[in-house]
Amino acid sequence: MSEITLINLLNGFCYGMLLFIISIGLTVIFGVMGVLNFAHGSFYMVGAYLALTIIEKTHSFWLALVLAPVLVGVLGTLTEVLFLRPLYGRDVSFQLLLTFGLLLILDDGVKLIWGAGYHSVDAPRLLSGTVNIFGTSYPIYSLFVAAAGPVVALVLWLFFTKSTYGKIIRAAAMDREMADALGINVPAVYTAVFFLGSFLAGMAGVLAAPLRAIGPSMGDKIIIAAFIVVVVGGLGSFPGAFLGAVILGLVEAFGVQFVPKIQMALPYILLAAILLLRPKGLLGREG
Amino acid sequence: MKRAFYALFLVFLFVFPFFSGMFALLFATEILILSIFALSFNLLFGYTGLLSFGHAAFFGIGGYAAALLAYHTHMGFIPILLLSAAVAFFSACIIGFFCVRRDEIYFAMLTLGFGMMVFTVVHQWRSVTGGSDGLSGFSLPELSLLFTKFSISPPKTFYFLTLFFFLATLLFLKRLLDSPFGLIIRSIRENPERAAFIGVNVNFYRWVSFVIAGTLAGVAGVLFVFYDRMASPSMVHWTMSARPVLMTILGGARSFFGPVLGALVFYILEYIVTQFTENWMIFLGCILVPIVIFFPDGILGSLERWIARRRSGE
Amino acid sequence: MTPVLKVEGLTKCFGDFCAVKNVSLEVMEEEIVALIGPNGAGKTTFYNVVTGRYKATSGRVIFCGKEITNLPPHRIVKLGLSRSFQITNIFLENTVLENILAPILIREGLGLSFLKNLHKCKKQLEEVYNILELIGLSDKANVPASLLAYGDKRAVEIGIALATKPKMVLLDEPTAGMTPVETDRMISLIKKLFEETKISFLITEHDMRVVFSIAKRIFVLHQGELLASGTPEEIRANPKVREAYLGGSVDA
Repeated sequence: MSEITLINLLNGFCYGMLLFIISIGLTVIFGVMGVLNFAHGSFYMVGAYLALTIIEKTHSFWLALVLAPVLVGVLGTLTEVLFLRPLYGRDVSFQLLLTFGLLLILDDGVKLIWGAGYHSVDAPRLLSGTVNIFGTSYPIYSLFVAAAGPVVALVLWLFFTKSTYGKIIRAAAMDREMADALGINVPAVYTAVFFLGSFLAGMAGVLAAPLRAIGPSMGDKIIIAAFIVVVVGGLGSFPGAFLGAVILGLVEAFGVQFVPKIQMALPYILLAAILLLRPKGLLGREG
Repeated sequence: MKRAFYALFLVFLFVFPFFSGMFALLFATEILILSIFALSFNLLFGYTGLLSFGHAAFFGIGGYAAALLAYHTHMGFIPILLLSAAVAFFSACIIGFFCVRRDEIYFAMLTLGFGMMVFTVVHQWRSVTGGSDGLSGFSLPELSLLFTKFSISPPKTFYFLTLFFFLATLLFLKRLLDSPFGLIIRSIRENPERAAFIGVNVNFYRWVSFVIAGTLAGVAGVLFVFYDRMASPSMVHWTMSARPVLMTILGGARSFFGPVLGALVFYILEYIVTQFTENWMIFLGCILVPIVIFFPDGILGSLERWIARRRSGE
Repeated sequence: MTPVLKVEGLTKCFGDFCAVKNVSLEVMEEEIVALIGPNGAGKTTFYNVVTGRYKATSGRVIFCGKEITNLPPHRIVKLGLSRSFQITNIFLENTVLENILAPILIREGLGLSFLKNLHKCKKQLEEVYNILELIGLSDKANVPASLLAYGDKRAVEIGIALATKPKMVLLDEPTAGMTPVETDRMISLIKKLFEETKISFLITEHDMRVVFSIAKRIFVLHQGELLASGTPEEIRANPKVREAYLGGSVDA
């Protein structure tokens, strides 16, 4: 394996894991509530900006990694309770429009608070520097992000299959009426799920902060990538989100190496191919 | 009463240029162009039940096609318009084919995705599209009518040209919606699943609606490029796709003239708000959210309902 | 008599759970047949597979001699197999007339007439009025369907199914949620339709009174499997059926 191939492999996987954490938040919300959150990318962006401020004030990346996702989760909770609740039972278009309105507010709002320019954040001292892999030096922080993906996947899997709360959420996702009949407080479940999904978006934002430039359009770019991930993997499917994220991450990384001219178009070609050959997505269930 | 109002409005549109100043004339022209764009969007959203977040793709494709033709050839306005509309038509055929393959939620995601794909291409393909600078410096094509050639450059001429296309769009859409096709797409909007069980190939009809809407958006794009004298990547950006969405929601998606009223209100609001603040999008978001929650029928729809209620009350 | 609908070994599983297991049945031309069973027996799933809403896990569906297994719903409707829904499933914002007109226009291949005015579709409108007459809604043609009373909405549901000019209609609990008066009206409507059109009907129903007054033959579905079939008298006397019903639901 050549050096560049190895680096691309690592870069692709690292970006893929970032995409996974974002997409899994999107997919949790969609899978349980049937709501597609257009502002999900903006939540990710807000997570990154909050990390910026927390790190500036406290110089602690780790505090940001805990606090910022919780704050974004609270933002998500407020969104659900105040704005989305009145819209359940109405045409899905209205939910889409509402979250779209939120996207406009957040994208412009961060400019008001943090200015229109780009910012950057250093990786925490513990993870700064590079490590030698087969003779290639590679940033430790990227490896940390790459490892965070499987950890999040494992924690979520344990939560949804082993814990009581996880089982309740799955029951509410499968059959709302049945869950109601069983005495499950479905509105509370929805709020909790929106918190969880937004929390994940915020966490991805914090993780991305040392890797990528923090700016007002970072949310738009990532939401489109996340949409491609969930369509490729199958909207609502957890393993699908993982697979889709890894594939898209690798496609983007290797695209630069092999077909630099059309690299930007590759994700869309992937998207079109999946829609043609397997419109349900790679691991999508029959709908 | 309603009819008299529309007749009056029509007369106003015709006499307006003769007493308005230059700024108002240009402003009105732009509103008419964006009205065509919003009306084409509402064929999809209000009448077929498909919320597109990538409609600017066709607005931009039509516009860029026209700019390129004006730049590289000496064709007249009508051939350029027809060719550009054809380019928008074929693009809509291809992109639409993918976007209607799954349900409405997928549709919203896919239109946004493919819309950004078009933006990426326009933005990156510098040698053809001029990249972020866009295309400008082309000469305006001449309009050949009845063996005479007109310049479309005087603002008044261009206003009437736009007005013609605006009225033609209204007439065309009205006929379309009162046709069997119109009933079928409205049925799909109401209940896509049931539509399949009366024998409707739902994806096919959605696709046809998508292509018609995309072609019309392309025509609006052609007009916009000649109005603005340039084709810029902002024409295909998602914020441009957001415009017809917001205009239609503002005016009322279920009212035929909703998008037109929406475009008017949108532009007036934008004009006022941007005098005070640069953060126009926040403002937009802040009016979109309450409209979606409290007035989903928009201004015109809510007004119509209010009038109907007053009438039945009396 | 030849079978209109022939189902062979139809199975539908969702993961590990099989809602319909190896069901075979035939419905003849000009026949009214009922499919009964306790709640959760798989009746609606059976309909959904036969009409193309779900893909079959295995088995075959043959309609008028043509295999229609896993065809998309709109193709199946075009071949002449129509259905109604258990939960009222009509075009609520459209008028009653438009509800019935749309399937007729589609059937006649007029869906892509872009510039013809609906009012000029005289022949099709005439057919609409005939159907409205039949289902007793002539005076409500221009009312939005959302404003109709429940029983009338159910009648529109049947009208839509008829407008596709079917050879056979699957009715899914046509009297669900109805008052006794509305139920009687629906029973006589179905009987009248059968007399006048000779369309074959397959009806699912949990109200035994309805079933025994309409159907000439009955299939009993229990936990996804075909438990019994026969005339109403045979079914009434069948001990397995009694057990299934008494063990499952209090309807019987």
